[in-house]
Amino acid sequence: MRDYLIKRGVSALVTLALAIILTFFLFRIMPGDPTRTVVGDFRVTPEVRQMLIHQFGLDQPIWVQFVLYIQNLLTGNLGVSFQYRGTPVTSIIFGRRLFNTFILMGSSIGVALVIGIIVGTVAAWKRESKFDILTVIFSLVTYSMPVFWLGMLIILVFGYYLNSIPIAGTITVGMTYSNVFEYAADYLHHMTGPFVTLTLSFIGFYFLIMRDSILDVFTEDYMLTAKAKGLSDRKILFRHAMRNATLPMVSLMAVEVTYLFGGATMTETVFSWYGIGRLIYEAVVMADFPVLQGIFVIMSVLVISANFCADIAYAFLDPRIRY
Amino acid sequence: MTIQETPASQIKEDRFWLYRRKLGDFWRLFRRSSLGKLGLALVLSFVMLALAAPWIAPFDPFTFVGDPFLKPSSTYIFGTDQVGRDIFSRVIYGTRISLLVGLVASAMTVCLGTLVGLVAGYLGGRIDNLLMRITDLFIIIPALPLMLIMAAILGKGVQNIIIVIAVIGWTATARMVRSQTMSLKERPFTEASRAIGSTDLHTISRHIVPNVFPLVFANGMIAIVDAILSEAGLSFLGFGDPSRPSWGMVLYFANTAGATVNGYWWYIVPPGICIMLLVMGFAFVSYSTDQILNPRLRRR
Amino acid sequence: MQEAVAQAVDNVSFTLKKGETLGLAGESGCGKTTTALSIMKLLPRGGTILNGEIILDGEDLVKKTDREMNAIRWKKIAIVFQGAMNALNPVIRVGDQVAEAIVEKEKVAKSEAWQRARSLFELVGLDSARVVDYPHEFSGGMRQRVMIAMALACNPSIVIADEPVTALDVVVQTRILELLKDLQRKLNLSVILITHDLSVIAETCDRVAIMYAGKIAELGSVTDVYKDSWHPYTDALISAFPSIIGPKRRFDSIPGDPPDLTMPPSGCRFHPRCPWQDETCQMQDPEYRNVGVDHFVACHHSEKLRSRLRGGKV
Repeated sequence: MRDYLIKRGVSALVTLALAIILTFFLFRIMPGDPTRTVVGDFRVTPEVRQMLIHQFGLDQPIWVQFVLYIQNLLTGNLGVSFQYRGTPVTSIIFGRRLFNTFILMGSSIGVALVIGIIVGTVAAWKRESKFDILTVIFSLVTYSMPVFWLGMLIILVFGYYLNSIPIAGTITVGMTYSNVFEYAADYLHHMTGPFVTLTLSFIGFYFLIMRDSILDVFTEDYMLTAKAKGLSDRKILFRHAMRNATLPMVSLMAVEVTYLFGGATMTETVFSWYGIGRLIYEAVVMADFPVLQGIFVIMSVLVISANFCADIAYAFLDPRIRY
Repeated sequence: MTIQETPASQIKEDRFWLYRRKLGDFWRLFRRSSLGKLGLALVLSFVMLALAAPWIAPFDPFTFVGDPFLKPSSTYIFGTDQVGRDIFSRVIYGTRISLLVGLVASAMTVCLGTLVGLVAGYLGGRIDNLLMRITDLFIIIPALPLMLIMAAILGKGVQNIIIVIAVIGWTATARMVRSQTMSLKERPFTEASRAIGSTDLHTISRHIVPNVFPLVFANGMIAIVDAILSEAGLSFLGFGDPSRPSWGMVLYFANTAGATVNGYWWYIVPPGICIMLLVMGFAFVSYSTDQILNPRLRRR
Repeated sequence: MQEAVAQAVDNVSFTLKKGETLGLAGESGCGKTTTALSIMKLLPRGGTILNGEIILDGEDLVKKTDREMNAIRWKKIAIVFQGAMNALNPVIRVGDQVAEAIVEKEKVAKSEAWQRARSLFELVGLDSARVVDYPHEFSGGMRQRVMIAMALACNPSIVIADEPVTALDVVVQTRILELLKDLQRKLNLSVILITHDLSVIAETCDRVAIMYAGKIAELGSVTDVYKDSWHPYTDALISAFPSIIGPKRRFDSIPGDPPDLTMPPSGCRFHPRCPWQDETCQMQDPEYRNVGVDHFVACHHSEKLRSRLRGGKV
């Protein structure tokens, strides 16, 4: 087990290193003037322009820039934003935004996962029953809907027609709160729209994968043994089948993390949720390269860690890997 | 005992009938799957819609034909948008772009992924390592942000969107093809093929590719689904081609016109439903073909 | 690739006596495993028992619901699959897999069940400390022992062993067969042993039913069936074994293949491969009849052939 983890850990670090290098070059090979954002207003004179270029280190040869980049990374310095003049990238990313995205994504993934796994298991057991057919169709339908469109629909129905949820932002602007619970209530009220959107968009996928996995497990010999022992259906399903069926899901989850970010970006944009997803969109539009570079590095770290955690989890769940 | 030689022409003919029979078997099974038939019907309807667009759409999708934000009526079936264009016509013509991008981008994705997977899986060793590292990188780097950046670099245009989607999406196919190739490589028939002196290319094309094909096909369907949804997403965020609006672009214009906050449901619902139905069509077909082609699934 | 109905088991009838070992022998696909699964009502999706009865302790199992069968499974009848395959759940400890049946069916505490599991391990010749290990940590032969220990967990009176030694090498085979015989004696078990290997039957069984294409060709004591065969198929099977005594001769194999059970041959199912078949065999299904003390055969021409079969051979 130790060897397995060490091997995986080294592999993860190598990939991380490559990702960091790639990120650097990705942003340097982009055509166009990197200071466009900053010096977009024409009121800046050529001298000031030069000064800004020098300040951002964009006039140095590329190798020097690379060394500086690595140095800065190691000290936790991700550079300074173009659009939010002078604000360090780290404070833009690690702040309210990360918190908001984390809460939103964490809760939707969690709920979607739990519901998807349980309902998927039951649907596989009651194969070809009404329940199974309905849940499969429901999942295929929600899976086929573009996330942003689902968000728009929810805003339309619940925001415009029913007026029951706020349609933008994380909290009501200008409101004062007497205690933290009021604040939390308002926050959660604002989160309802994006939360429902994201959860619905994830749930179909998890359901279908789990159902598929359990059906696969049903073909295994040990399922016949369990039935031959005269165990109750529930015992067979949740004790024998589920434990084996969740294994492929764990490896799948790790790969899927990147798509989760895509969904988050869409949803945050539609609902104006103040998070990382929306930051990505803004940064692309405003060509704020330091922020984008910083996000890429952070995301790479997150995804690689998620993969590594999945590897560890898999080792725990599957005894065949452990020894 | 004499050994009779089968002439090459006979072999070719035998193989033709073999494939034809397999296709017939497949079609017979497919016809029985109601989900598959429904999916195929959906897909074909949209294809026909795309081809017959000039005859079905009542107005030109780019000209102002009425007052802005008109509700649906008999003249304007889906109403008008913020500059008075007929939304129904725009949706009809949007079919072309969405389908085009979906099919072409996924075809490129699958080709690229299959190529990488075959080479990595068959040759193994250092080349495999290198290709897998590259694949890992593409998997790690977040898809949508990368797409956005590439779209921003390459600029607007349908062909750019196709390129962006293809370049990001090939990793899933590559991994799958690689693991399948590696397991096929261990099978006796590969050894046999090499033992009689076939070149690697011959072995790959004659023995490995036909066995990998069902997997690639199933994967291709999923790739189409991903491509359509990715294109819709990119367009919605404003990176599409305004001169050739797809459904996603129509929704982008809807959003910027404030359709959600003003309750212009006729602007929002139709394009989204089209995306949903087209994706569902391909998803159903994918589901049914998977049931048929995957021998493991047949056991269930 | 059409869907059709296959009659996997047709008119199979036998009685299992207390304390005896009955063998079910035949080629792959002849219906032996289907018979066994039917007894425990474990047929897969798409399989049904069309008619017939399975009487155990005065009750007909065919009429029982799945829930009622759950009470019988493992407590009265247990089955041992090929342990070399995936018959054991790879992510659960073997001790747990043995104990869970005890806990579930006899409502005892987990600790007591595990204690029983440990003693069962010793009974089958395994180190009782290994109850905490996982299936992949055992060799094929040892996994088979685990399967046997598991089957005995609730003290069943009948044990069905489906190809218990097929996937094992010959040395391990012998040991497992000896273990089975030993356990049967000690616990007074009634065993149905399913295999395609006639030598295994010869070593372990008291009586044997030779099956072909879903029907019983011949049934009787092992001595009777092996030394005094009445069915051409039995004779062909026995002749296919080389003898270590006597002069060397060529292998006699049975020409042809077992039939497709969705379209079985008319009349006697064996007739296409039988050297003595005639028109009656092609038209009429032979009657399953008694030809001796507890000896049954389904063949039109057994009397005539008996003198030719095995009689003059070494």
